[in-house]
Amino acid sequence: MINIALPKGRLGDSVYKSLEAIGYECPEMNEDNRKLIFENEEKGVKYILVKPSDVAVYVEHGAADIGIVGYDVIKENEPDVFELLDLDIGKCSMAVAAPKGFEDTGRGPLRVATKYPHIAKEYYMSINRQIEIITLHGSIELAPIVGLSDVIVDIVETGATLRENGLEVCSYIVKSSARVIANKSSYHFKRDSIEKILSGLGEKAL
Amino acid sequence: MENVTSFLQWEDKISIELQRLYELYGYDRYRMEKFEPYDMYMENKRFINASSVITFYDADGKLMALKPDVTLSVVKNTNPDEKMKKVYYLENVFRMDGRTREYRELKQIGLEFIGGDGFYPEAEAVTMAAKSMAAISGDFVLCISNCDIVPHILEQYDVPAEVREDILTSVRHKNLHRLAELLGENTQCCDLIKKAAVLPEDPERALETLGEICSDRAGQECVSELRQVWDVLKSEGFGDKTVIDLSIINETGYYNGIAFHGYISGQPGAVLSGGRYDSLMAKMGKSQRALGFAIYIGSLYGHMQGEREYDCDVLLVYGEAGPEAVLRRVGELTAEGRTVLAVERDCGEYRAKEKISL
Repeated sequence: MINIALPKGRLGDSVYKSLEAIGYECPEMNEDNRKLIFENEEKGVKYILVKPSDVAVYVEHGAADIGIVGYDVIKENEPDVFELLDLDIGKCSMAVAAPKGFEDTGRGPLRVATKYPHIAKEYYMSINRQIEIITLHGSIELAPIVGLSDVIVDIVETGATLRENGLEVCSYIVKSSARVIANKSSYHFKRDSIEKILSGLGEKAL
Repeated sequence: MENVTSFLQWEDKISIELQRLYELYGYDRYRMEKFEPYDMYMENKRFINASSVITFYDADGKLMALKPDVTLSVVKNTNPDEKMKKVYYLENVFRMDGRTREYRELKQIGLEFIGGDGFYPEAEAVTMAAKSMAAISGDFVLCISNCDIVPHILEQYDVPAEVREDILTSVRHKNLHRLAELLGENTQCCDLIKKAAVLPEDPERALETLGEICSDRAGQECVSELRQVWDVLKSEGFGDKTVIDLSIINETGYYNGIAFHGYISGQPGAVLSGGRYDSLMAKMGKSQRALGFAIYIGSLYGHMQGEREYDCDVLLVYGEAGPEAVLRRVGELTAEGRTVLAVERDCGEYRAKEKISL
């Protein structure tokens, strides 16, 4: 039995379709229900649906053998897992954004609102800019509009949300896409199944 | 002995079994009865992989540390003239959990083989590691590596120093797409490093692949050392438990040569970690070579102990009976080798094989 952690939402749905196509189907997954665990004993697969930012936690702690997670989450949390495949989907960028026309005067610490404090600290340290981190869990775009922060560090897909809120990208930090990660212990005990899945997902990791 | 040990918790039983194993192979118990200076740990904090340690001032005002590690103390207290020193330890260490940022007290058991000649120390240490894993669980994998191989390939292909650490991190994570980004233009080196990061599962095939990857003499010597370790584990009956995995690259400033990690099915991280640390010995002014390993017994406890079916053999409900009568009955029952829990009333909160009322 292989346990797979999928992120709830579009990315998880898309990866499940690929897994279904290579023989890891679980018909219940296509039903309209609120279940979070789905199992197909015959195919030897169990899916768990979790919040995207929690996928790596489930895999690192062995509650799932493999998982699908964005590189932004990996970079932020640095889980002790194997990162086996770049699926080249769910692409986005981690960027610094601010209200249109904002200029950093360099006087005093820059106030940065973000869900990614680790990435933000690392980025500003690399450009020698002192900052004050304001950690938020959602609606990051709001922070500079209401004066909570000067800038934000967040993921940007099309930039539409930023534009609608009068913000613009100041600089890009890192690109992100969906990755297949594996628990280090599970990798050694379930290597055949994991490699079969990697191969089926389009790119053998060899 | 079985009668005595049958009452012990899993953690105590395995500690006794491992201590016996190490004593049989001539290791002396090292007791860390004194504290070491804070400076020693901070100068080597990448070796102990600890971001902070608990400190206190001794009577002379010297800043000391509550032991985060045992190996550094063993090395510090080794006489540079000692030809061979074999010790094992069973100690509680105090470390900060990187995720929760809270300090934890962890029971650690391990051994150190300092000095010794030729290949025998490696052979014995990996055998001890495999036997320790077997004592903990039959369903284990021992991954062996040679930490020098990947850095050696990078050296051969003149890979710039500023990207080497990033490459080693990517190998540690078997992150082939990142390796392609970092080494993309150096196609030949990139292919070799990617092959080394994900070797075939079968050790013989893995060694064949490594033989092709490491073409020069120094590289071949590293592979030959791995082959010797594999031959030893095979001859000791651990062939089906061994995997060659070069993603194990211990901190290169301290470790070199053979390294190994042990995994147990169902346990998320490595439960055993070890390897050769000649570079640490040199940093601490010791001329000997050395290797060893540690097992975090405490972290295994919940996993291995399992769910107990009963809290005790007998639930003795004494009601109005006086303490003398209760203790007499408890004495009779325990003399039969049964565990007893005496309670005034049975509220249904304890699970017992048998219930007796006085």
